[in-house]
Amino acid sequence: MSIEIELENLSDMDLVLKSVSGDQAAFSIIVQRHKSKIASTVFGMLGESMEAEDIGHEVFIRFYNSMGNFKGESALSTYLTRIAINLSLNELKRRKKNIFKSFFNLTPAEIFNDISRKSMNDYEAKEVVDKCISQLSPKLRSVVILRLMDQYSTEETAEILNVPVGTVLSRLARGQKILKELLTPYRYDK
Amino acid sequence: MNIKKLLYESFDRKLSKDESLDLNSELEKNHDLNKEKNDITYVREMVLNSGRKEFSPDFEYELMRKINSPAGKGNYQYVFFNSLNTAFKRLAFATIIFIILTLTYNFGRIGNISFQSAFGIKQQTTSFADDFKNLFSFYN
Repeated sequence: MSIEIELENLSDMDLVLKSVSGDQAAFSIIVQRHKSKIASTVFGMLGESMEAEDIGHEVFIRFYNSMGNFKGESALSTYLTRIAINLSLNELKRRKKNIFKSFFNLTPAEIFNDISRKSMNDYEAKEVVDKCISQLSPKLRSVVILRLMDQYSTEETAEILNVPVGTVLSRLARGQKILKELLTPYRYDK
Repeated sequence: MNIKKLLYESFDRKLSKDESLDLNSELEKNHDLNKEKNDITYVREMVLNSGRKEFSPDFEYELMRKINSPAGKGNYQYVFFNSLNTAFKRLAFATIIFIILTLTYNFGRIGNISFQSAFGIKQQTTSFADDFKNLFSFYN
């Protein structure tokens, strides 16, 4: 027990060094520390789905297998979030490629289009926001999730996505305009 | 700079003194811009409050199980054969499609369903034999 408390007090970099040398307890602390943020990113990007949990696992497995390459140049949360965003974008591409989609298995966006404004009041606000976010393109979605949901700074968002700050600002503006169009009717109907 | 663009950017970067003055003076007299600002604030609050989802309680257990499995441990031999298996499946699928298309084309071209037509072999006719006969008759 005392060893675990000792580990909890270590910095991310120290935990990584211990994990590299084979200490799985140290790796477990890393997972506990960052899983909430990764969950927020992955669920934000993919919605609540079976794949989201698998992508969450994949984020930590990828990191586990390449921990030796982590030099601590960026914060560990930024590093892990970058992996989460890349894997989520791959998953979105895979979903788009899946042409054998069942007609009965509508995406949230398609369901949302069918919902009248009146019945939208019956939905939880969270679900409404999820459905609106799922209508954004992957590029706009990733910026909105990182900046507005995960509360990364504009500079951190740019670093995670490897794009200039100006690109983040313009994508944020476009994303928010679309969300405004989708969400404000809900606001005034309430 | 476009005042609306400035309004959007004011949420995500520190504006210069001049930009702040421009935006504030415009907000004081422009009702639509004020409404836009309120709408953006509303959208941002909605998105922020919709977050914070958690993985299932057995997330860590499942993760460690996967990590300790042959694939998770970075077993490159396992990963290699797994990739080879996937690549072979794709190749096999493409080959089957190719064979079906070739057979369909050959059956359609020759007009009957037989072993010869499947491989695009036309039935030999007497005119073909005559051609040969004529060819050799030249030397006689």
